[in-house]
Amino acid sequence: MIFENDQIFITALITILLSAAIWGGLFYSIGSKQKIYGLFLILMLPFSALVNLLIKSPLNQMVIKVFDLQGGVNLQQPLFYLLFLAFLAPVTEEFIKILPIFLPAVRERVKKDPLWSGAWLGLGFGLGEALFIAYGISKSSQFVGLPWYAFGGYVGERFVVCLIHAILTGLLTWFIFQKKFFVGYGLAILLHFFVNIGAFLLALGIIGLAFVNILFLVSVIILVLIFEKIRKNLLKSNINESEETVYFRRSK
Amino acid sequence: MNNYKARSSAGWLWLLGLGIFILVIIVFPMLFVFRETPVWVSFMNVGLGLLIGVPFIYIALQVREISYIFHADHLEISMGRLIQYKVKFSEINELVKKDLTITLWSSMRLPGLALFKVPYADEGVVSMCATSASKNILLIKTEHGKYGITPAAETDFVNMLTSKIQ
Repeated sequence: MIFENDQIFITALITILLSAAIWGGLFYSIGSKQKIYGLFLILMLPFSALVNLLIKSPLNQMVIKVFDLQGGVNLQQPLFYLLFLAFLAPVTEEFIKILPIFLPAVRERVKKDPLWSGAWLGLGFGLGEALFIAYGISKSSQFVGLPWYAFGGYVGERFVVCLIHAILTGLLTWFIFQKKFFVGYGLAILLHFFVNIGAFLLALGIIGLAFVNILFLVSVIILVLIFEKIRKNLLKSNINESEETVYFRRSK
Repeated sequence: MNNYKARSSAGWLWLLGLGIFILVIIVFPMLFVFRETPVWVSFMNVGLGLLIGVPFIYIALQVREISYIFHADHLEISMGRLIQYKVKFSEINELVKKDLTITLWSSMRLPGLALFKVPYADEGVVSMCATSASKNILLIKTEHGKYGITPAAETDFVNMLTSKIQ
């Protein structure tokens, strides 16, 4: 059997279509309306698999080998290795998500609207990650026999994570075109770390699931607030007051 | 004519779809695991699905009831029993048509629909009863607040309103 559970791919397809439709629809309706953003989504789909298979996994294996460790997220590991694991995803993923801006066509678009262009790149990455994680689940013997509708947690989590990736990349590209790459990259890493820390502490057995959910919710709210603050400031500077038809104005 | 309807839009379909979607994702899985799940959990989930999903469907069906009615001294902006705004002609300071700039925060704002109090980046909080989220909104500014509407027969409506205000 190729997959231990192929039903997860039905759930993944629903999740990807749902996330693309809802977040993409929202971005399209309140951001700049460019058809090229659809290509951004497609372009970013393989990036999660690439970063996981070609960077994160080999890096992790290298550290395990060099320091003669057992690997895994548990309290038997040295502190430096746990910190390495906690920062591995934020450092590598936040960087790979902005790699497409080295392509001239992408760069031109991102230059014009860094916040939304970055958000579309991040959303594409999130969709690809949903597929990559589904692939991981399909290979796991833990989920044998489960029907597609039993993966409700996957749907909810991946749906929100797509938004998180979109916001983080939007913030980073905005900072890059403010000529503040290191500030943006540092902030994106810290925020990504903050989003992941609950699940990480849960894996270590330090906190419970309820606290993880609270941390996750708080981090999402903080991300949305930061994104909205920047977006609002951009809007204020772009609003053209003259584009209105006055039918009546009472003289004072 | 004293009663004007809102221009048509597919906004109500979003609400209907959202309501049905909520019912499907919460109630539908329960049908498969009903026997293995404790009764109180099943009822709680189904109840929660109905509590969240049904209001969306109800509002979607009410959108067709949006109307702007002229009375002797005020304009009534209504959507069935859910929205009842009364705007006195004497309190209207400004009537403009414009595209509003939307924010991520809103009580009820979907493509082709804006209801209740919606915060906009350029105009602040606007009491909306419109079949458009931001495009071509007729904005009525009064001493007590702002109202956003989208009458179908817009020219007639504007002529009628300006004649009442002046």
